[in-house]
Amino acid sequence: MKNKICPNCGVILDNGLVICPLCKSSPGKDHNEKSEVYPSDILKLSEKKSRIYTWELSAIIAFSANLICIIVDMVILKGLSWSLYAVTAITGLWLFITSFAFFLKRPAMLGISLAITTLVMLIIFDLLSPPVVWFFGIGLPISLSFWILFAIFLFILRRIKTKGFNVLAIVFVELSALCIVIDIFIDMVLKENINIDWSAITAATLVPVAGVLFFIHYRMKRGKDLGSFFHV
Amino acid sequence: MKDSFHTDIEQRGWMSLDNAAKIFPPVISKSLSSVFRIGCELSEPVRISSLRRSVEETCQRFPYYLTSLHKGFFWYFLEYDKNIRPSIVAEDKKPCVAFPAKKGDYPLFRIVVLGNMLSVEFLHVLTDGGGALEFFRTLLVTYLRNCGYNVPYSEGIIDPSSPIDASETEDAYNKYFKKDVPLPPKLENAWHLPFETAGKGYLGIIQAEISVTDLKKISKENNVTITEYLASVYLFCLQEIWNGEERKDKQILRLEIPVNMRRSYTSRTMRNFSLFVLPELDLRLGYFSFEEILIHVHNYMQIQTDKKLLSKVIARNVKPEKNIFIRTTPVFIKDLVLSAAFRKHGATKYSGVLTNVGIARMPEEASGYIETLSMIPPPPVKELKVSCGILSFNDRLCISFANNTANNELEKNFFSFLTGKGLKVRILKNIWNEKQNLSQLRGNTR
Repeated sequence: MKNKICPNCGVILDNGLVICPLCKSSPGKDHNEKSEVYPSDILKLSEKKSRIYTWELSAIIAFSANLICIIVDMVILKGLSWSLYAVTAITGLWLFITSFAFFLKRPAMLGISLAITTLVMLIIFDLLSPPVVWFFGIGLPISLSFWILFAIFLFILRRIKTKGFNVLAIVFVELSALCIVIDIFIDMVLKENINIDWSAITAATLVPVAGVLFFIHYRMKRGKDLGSFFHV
Repeated sequence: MKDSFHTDIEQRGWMSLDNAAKIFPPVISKSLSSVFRIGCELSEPVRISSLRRSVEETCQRFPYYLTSLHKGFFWYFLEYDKNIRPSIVAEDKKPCVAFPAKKGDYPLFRIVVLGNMLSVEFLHVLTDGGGALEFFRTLLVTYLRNCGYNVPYSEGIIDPSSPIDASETEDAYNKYFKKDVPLPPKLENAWHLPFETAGKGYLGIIQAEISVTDLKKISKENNVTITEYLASVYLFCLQEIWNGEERKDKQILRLEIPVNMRRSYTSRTMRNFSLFVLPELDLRLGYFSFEEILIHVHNYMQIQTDKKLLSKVIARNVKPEKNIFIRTTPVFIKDLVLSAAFRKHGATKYSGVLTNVGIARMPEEASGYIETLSMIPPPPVKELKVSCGILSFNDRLCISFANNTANNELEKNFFSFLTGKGLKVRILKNIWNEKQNLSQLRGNTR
């Protein structure tokens, strides 16, 4: 009987060998047809596939962690108390991972899903210790301000041609704005009169630094890419 | 008008240094310029307006050379500037003078002119002899055409109007690096010429011409290539000097011979892509006759240019730069470590350097306008004292010795040996020594 030759590896297969021991393909079959996943295929898994696998793994871990927290809480304290906070945090984290797994290449959707997750988490935390006191006064405006500033940052980032020190400068300016917003809303809830103090100091420090960075970028580096300076 | 980009560097505006280039920025200085030259002597004086136009046209085709060296946080990098142009300067007191490369925004190559002589000098950060020769051949033909001569872009010379291939900027070392390849064994330190350096910044040049036909004939008679033959002569002359020494602390004579990797691997890169072959004589085994040296060198060259063994050298060179700790170390620490390592180990493994860039093929129509073509290697490091560069054109092979001592014994022995074998050696006029002597005289009279 004539020996078969593996169409993939080119090795001669001894009589009786139906499948190539190297690549697991069958010489009788069309060698383009792939019926199994090979180790090399696992390595070559597409970015999307590996993200989904990571997401599935994170779901199992999050579910297990939630279950452990609930069971431990019920066994020791005979009810649901602290585990509700843990479950909210773990589920929130898992929702973050979910957003990245499915919307990584859609920044608008990613931003919206992250913002909604944050807000839902915050309101649940507030609801867990009634009455609801800080969510509408502090949590909602600060987190909304953060996401709006983040959206503005992404918008500017898309518009600017060369991303260098100017990106850091924008981050510093936005951080200053966020600090002022935080200062205002905390004052509104806790002191009932607005007194911008610590955020003014922060802004007074960050804005000149941003100015220097803008100067370096647009005058000294003439709009050069930051990737060149920090490439590893 | 929208910009059209042909290469990665034009699009990104910068590129990282290739593997071979990474060692240079920390170590380059006024005395160790890491600059080499490819030049020619024309049949008539250089026409500067035609040259300027030719430089402009040639630079358009080689945009990846329009860069300057900059210090990043982790690594140095080359920054592209479409408006940067090489300076066209008059011949200095010596060739291969350092570039102010680390001061930023300076081009890393220049055009040097004196009378009939036209040269291009490159900082090794940018490219090696192979890349520089391609640039120079295009420049030369473009220049001759701009002078009104009917010279075609044949013999593989790049036409400035031809499209740019993106692979011309690839880091071929990284492309052909295989991480699982074992590293080559470590080498013992080699002996160095005992001559005293002549003083800071001194560089003596001796150039000579030999007939390629005659050299080919004698090499063929000995069943070796021209490079192998000349390397054997070099080692033989080193052995003669070693024999004459009283203090023989090291007994290995080893030659560093750069190999153009574009011949072994498929790459069109115009950046650095050469490695070294290191034929050696272990003098603990006794005296080597010239015939024995020929056999040694021939076999070393044959085995060390084997693709599999070359992949070991690539692995040794590239592996460190893949290490995450090395990659994330700030550049000022890398500078300190690399310059200290270079001072300690830079030239400890070899006794001399012999670079044969090969044959500069030019169109037949250009032959009447070009007298000679030559390559001057980068000034040797302090320990090495002498280095040698070779370039052939038509039937003329030009050997250039760069020497930072006042002792020319090696060169004298080298050329005497060749004349002893019946070869005609024509020593070329040395314009730099005259200039250096003149400058020294002026200095003494002040």
